[in-house]
Amino acid sequence: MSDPRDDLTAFERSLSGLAPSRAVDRDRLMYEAGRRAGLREARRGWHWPAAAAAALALATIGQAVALSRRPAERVVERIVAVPAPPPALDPVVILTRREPERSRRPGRPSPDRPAPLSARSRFDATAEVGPPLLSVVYLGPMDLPSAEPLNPRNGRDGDLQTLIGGPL
Amino acid sequence: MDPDAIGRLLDRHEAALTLFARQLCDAPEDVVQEAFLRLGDLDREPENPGAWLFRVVRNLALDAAVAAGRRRKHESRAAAESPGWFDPAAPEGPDPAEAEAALRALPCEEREVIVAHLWGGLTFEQIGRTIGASSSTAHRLYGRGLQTLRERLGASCPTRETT
Repeated sequence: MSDPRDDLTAFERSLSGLAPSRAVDRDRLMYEAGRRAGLREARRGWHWPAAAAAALALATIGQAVALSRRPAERVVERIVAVPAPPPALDPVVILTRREPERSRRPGRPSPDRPAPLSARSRFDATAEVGPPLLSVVYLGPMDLPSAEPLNPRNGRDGDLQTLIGGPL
Repeated sequence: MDPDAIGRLLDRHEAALTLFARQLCDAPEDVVQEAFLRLGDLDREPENPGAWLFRVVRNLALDAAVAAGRRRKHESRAAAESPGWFDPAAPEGPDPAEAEAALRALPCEEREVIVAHLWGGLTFEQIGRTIGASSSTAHRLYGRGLQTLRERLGASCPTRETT
C-alpha cells in the first residue's frame, strides 16, 4: 500500500518534515501493557472455574426452591373392581381295579397256595388288609354319578360296577 | 497483541497520534497511552492499526476534552507547561513555533484532518471514517486548511489538487 504522503506538494512535504514532539513515556507504556496482559491472562484462568461454580450454585438454589415448593402428598381413594378368581376345580376320583396276582401256572392251585377268591371276596379282602385299592387322580371336571364319595365298603356295588365296568 | 507489534506501532504512530490528540484535548499523552493499551488488549491486530489508533485516540481525546471542562484551570496550566507541538531541532522546513501557531489558528476540524493526513499518513477515506464524515468532506477540509496555512506561513508553493 503506497503512503498517501508520497504525492505531496513541496509545501506539504516541508510541513510534514516537522517532527511532532513525543509525549508518551515508552517504557511506562510497555510496562503498563505487560501488566495488563498479565492481569488479563490471570482473569482468563478464572473464567471456567467461576462459570462452573456459578452454574453449580444456580442448580443448587433451583433444586432447593423446587424442593421447598413441592406440594404435599395426596391420598386418593379409588374403588377398583377386581374380577373374582374362578372356583377351584373339584378333584375327580377314578377308581381303578387292581388285578390280583395270578399263579405262575394257572389252572390247578398249588397246595401251599390258597384257593382263588371270588371277585367280591377279593375286593373286600384287599380293601381291608391290602394296599390301597383306590387311587385319586385329578383329571379335571367330570360328571360323576353321584356327589357322594364312593366307599367300597358301603355296599353300593352298583356304583362300583358302573365305574369299573363290570361285576365285582 | 504481541508486545513487539505494539512497540513497532508505537515507534511509527506515537508522535503523530500525540499531535492529533493535541488538537482535541490538553492531555494528549494520557490519551495516546490509553489507546495503545487498548490495542494491547485486543486478541489480534486490527486490519489497519494506524487508522484504528487514530479513531480510538480521537474518541478518547473528545471524552477527555468533555471531562476537562470541569477542571479547565488545571488543564490549561498543564497545557501551558507542555512542550511545543513540534521538535524544535527540525533540520528543515518552516519554523516549528510558527507552524504550531499557524496550525493552532485553524478550526479544529481542519487541524485534525491535516494532522491525520500529513503526519499520520491516513488516506482521506480513512480520515472520513475516523471523523465520521465522507472522504470528500475530509478532502475539502484538508484543502481549505492547507490553503490557510500556506497563506500564514508565507509559502509560495503552487497549489496541487490532492486525490
